[in-house]
Amino acid sequence: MKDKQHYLVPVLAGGVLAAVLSAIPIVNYCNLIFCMWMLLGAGLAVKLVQDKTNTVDGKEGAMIGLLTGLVTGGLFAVLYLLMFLIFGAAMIPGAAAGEVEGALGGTVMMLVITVGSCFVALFAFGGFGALGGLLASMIFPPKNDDAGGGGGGGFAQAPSAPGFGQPPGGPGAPPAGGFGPPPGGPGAPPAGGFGQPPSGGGQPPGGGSPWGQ
Amino acid sequence: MRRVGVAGAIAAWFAVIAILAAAPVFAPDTALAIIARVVFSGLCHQIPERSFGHDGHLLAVCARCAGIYAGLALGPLLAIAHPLAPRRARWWVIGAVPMATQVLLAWIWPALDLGWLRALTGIWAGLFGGWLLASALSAPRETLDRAPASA
Repeated sequence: MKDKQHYLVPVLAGGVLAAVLSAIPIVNYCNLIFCMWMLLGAGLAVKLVQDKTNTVDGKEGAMIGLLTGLVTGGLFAVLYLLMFLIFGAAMIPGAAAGEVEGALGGTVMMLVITVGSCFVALFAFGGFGALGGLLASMIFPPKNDDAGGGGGGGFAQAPSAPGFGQPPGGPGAPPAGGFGPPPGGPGAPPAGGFGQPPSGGGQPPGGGSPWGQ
Repeated sequence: MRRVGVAGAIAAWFAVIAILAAAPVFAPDTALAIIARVVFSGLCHQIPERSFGHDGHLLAVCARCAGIYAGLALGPLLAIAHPLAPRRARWWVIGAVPMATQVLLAWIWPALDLGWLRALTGIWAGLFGGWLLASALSAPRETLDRAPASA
């Protein structure tokens, strides 16, 4: 779990998506197919993290899926608690008849069922989430970034401080600091004291970064 | 040693789920049975004709789901002896094909929609799911990074 800072939003998004889809009547029937919404939610979380970091392997995918499943299970736990608060009293045996002892026992029983359901939901959704995350890490593997050092899609490595990089024109080109004559000739006045990059060198990436690629 | 611990924990995790799914049979009319029915209603259709039972009490999940949970609980133990490369597509395909085939065949030929066959293909799929999950979580990171994404 080396890119934990990127987990929060994807895990929440995947967890909420899976919980919402699993809670909507009729739509939740898709969960009958190997807990499909949970797999999808975990897969979404892994895909989002993969897009950001490009380093998610099987282990990390499973962990992201597990966290997503725990979020879904947590949301279901909240749902169970709300159901208990809203409908619980009507379901407690003895409450309607006004029997205090029966109602007390019924309340304890309902609480046990609600809390137990919360824990079991965490277990079940967490397990399927881990599977979904692992499956997604197989479907969305990290892109091969061995071209990163050679350009063509890789990230340019910025130097630690300005002035140490290569100018766009290569080692022979004058650095952006006023050294060397501008391309117009030695007699031409430099614009603002800074040397121009040679015409063949192209523009530096990022619209004028002082260091090259 | 680490692999044994991780695989054991995953096996225990899914074993808890499998035992809970069976709670209505071994502990009927208890809070545990109600909890199982409530939670698994979101994960399984719980149709009585498609569920295993004993003495008039049915599992909280259907035959296929029961098989899947049993397989998920047993699969991680296989990872202790022989871990798989979890990002090789072939293992996922080998695990899923029998169940998918059974579902397809049962549509075409309903006589093949047998409870034991659903459970058996579910066990197979779950076995591979647990096996791959335990292999992924117990393997060192560099081993996984070297594994290619496809078969």
